[in-house]
Formats: sequence, structure tokens, C-alpha cells
Amino acid sequence: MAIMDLLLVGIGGAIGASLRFLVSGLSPEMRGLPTGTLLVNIIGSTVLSLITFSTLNPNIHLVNIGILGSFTTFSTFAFESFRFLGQNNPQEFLANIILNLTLCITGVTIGHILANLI
Amino acid sequence: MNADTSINGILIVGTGGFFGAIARYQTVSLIAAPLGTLCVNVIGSFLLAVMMYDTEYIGIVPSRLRMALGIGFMGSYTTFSTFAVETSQMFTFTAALNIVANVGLTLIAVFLGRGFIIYLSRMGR
Repeated sequence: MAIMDLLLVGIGGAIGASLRFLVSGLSPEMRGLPTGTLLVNIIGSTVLSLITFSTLNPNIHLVNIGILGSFTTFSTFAFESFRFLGQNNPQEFLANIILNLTLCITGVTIGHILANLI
Repeated sequence: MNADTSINGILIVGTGGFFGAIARYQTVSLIAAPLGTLCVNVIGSFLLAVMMYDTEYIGIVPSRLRMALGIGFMGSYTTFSTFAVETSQMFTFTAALNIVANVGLTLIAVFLGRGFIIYLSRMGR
């Protein structure tokens, strides 16, 4: 059912975006870095990995593509990183990129290990 | 980013997220992952930059619409989790290439989005 799949992706997207808005708003700023985006990206990457590599079988359209796909974001990450260049802050620029990449990939590894334990 | 954590804000962002996720799903069904994921990330970053720099240089996008489109739609249209999981399933060289392509091209997209808005603002004078 293609229409049903689209609807589930959309509903998941609405849930994921709202949760991202709430969680990133709650996150305190540290050393001027946009930790809200970092936090949602780490949580979302870890949970998506756990679900992808486990035998858990949620609705892929609602949970994987919809909720978790929308909970994390690349555009805000790119925009916030780029802004540091404009402010002549190469250290924060590099720190934000390295933190997002390393912590999200570490999250994926942890998710994968947890998936094997379930 | 603008943080209006009211019920109203959640509804506005959620509505944008509904359409952003569907648009991402449609794009990736046309261009298979991981190239599809790269495409949504680059297109979404360009459009988010256009919206955010409009606020700085021109100011035609109202703040509610910016919330719906920027935080809601573009936030959901692009994705970090899928990118991270897909990268973890690649061999080292391809994974490195995928990381460089996503980070490099989205940064260039933001730069071009800003350039587009600056160009428009100069045209309008």
C-alpha cells in the first residue's frame, strides 16, 4: 500500500521533527557549540543502528524512515558549522564537525553491539 | 535557532516534518541510497541556508514559515541517522568518501545558499 506507506512516513516525520524541536531546545549550550543538534544526531543514530541491526521489527516507514530519519538533521548541522566559518571561528567549525561525525558513528557502533545482545 | 517551545511551535514544526519526511522518502525512491541520502542532505542544506540568510539579508520569510520550513521541513528532509548507519555499512574507503561528500557538499550548498540570498538582496536595491 503505497499511500499508506507515505502516510506512515509523514506521521513519523511529524513525531520525529517535534521531538527534535523539544530535545534540541532542552539541551544546554556548551562552549558556544550547538549541542542541541549534536544531541539529537547522537541519540537518533544510536537508536536507528540498534533497530536496524537487531531482530526488532518495527514498521520501517513509521519508525526508521519517519521518526528516526526526521529526529536527526544534516541541514542544521551544515548551517551551524558553516556559521562558525563566517564568524572566523575555525576551531569551533572543526570541533562541531568532528564531534558530530565521531560521536554519531560511535553511537552507531554502540547500537550495533546492543542489537547483538538482544 | 529560534526556540519557541510552545504547543504552537511544536505543531508548526511537526507539520513541516510531516511533509519533509515524505519528500525525503520520495527523493530516495527516485535516487537509491546512499546517493539519495547525499542528494537530500545537499538540497536541504541549500534551501535551509536560503531561508536562514533571508532573515539576515532580506527578511521576506515570516518567522512562523521559517520555523515550519527550516526546522520542520528541511530538518526532516535531511537526515544524519541514515547517513551514519549507511556509512557504517561501507568499506573504509567508500565510507571516507561518503563522509567527505556529505560534509563537503552540504557546506558548499550552505555557501551557495548564502550567496544566492546576497545576490537577491543586491538586485533588490
